[in-house]
Amino acid sequence: MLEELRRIAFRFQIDPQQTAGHTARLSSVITVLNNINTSFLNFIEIEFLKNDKFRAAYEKSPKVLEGLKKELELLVVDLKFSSFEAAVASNIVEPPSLFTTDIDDWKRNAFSDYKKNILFGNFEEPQYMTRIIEKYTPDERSRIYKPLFTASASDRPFKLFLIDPKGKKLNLRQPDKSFTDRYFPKKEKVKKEKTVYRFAKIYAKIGGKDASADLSKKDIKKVLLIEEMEHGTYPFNPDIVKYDEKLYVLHEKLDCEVNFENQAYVISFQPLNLCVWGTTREEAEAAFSFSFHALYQNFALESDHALSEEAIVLKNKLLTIVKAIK
Amino acid sequence: MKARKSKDIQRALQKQGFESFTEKDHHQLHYLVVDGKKQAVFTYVGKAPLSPELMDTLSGQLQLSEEKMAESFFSGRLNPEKYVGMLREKEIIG
Repeated sequence: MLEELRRIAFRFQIDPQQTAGHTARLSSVITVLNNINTSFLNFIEIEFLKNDKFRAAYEKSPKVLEGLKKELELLVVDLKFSSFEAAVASNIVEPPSLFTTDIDDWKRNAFSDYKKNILFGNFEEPQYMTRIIEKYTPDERSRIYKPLFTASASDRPFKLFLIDPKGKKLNLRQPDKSFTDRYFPKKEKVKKEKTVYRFAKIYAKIGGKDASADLSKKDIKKVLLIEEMEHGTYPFNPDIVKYDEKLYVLHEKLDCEVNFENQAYVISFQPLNLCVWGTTREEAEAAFSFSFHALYQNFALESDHALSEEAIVLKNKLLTIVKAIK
Repeated sequence: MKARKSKDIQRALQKQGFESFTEKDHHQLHYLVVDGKKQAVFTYVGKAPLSPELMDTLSGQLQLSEEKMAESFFSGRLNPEKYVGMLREKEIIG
């Protein structure tokens, strides 16, 4: 049986370029073996699922594919030191009879298909490429060919040769970028659409002790009514005003008016005759914080003799509103 | 009232005797100073151009209720004394 497996096996040789006596690095051997194995198992899975009958069997019992992969697992059937040369084959000589005849027949052909059409394929030949591109999706091509091309990339410290049945060595090397770009076309990036937030008034039945404190989702027992708002003109009632490093703590919340006028948010606080605007709600709030701070710095902290009578009234209002500055 | 650029408004305010307060960013507060005393007449100015609606709001802040006077104010043609006189007449400043 071993002789038969050696006959059908594919042979490859790792020829290191930079080591004493062309001895193979263990890591090079592992990479090549692992990548060939990955490519082959992916090929088995892809081809198996392309068959409608087998796919139906797989959908009934996914284990069928796992069992098949196990049985077709590549075996090292011969080794030579010549750098590192190995013969690898699936055990298709004595197929166990766990599967139906159809699957067993398919199994016997799968290995030779892979050897002939994938491993020994002429990757840069136009007809070959067209056939492969028509047969496999980009994802399938990536799963079958990428491991092979990666194992034989030009920056590897070794050359990888396939040895045909007549003993002729064929250099297995990753095709040029112009070819690999066709095998593995770049996926077009799907631009994420920016979320456009809307505003709504929500009436809800809530638990918890204080509705003004941070309300968590679990405190909301039931949403009673949602009224969508055209703009973010919900109330603005700050009890602190923060600008840069200054924090103004107020005696009570300011009852500000918020309007949306011709693409601008306008926030006004009548008692101080303060009115600001911005193209977004956030900009308008930032303008409010700045203006409050500016009024305090220029009027509340100013000596009376530098202020008019009306300005002194404004100063006193500001001093009454602010409880502390931190 | 027609839309105006922020820079043009700043220039007009300066001409009428307004001083400006600004810190690290584009926000500005302009307040009127008459005879060395700060008056309770002020307005906010940001960096964005002001639409006709915002020009009306700004005029309200500056007590410019007459559109003709407001246009003269912002185009820089209004005599500063005339503006202060109007504010005194309305008893907005002493």
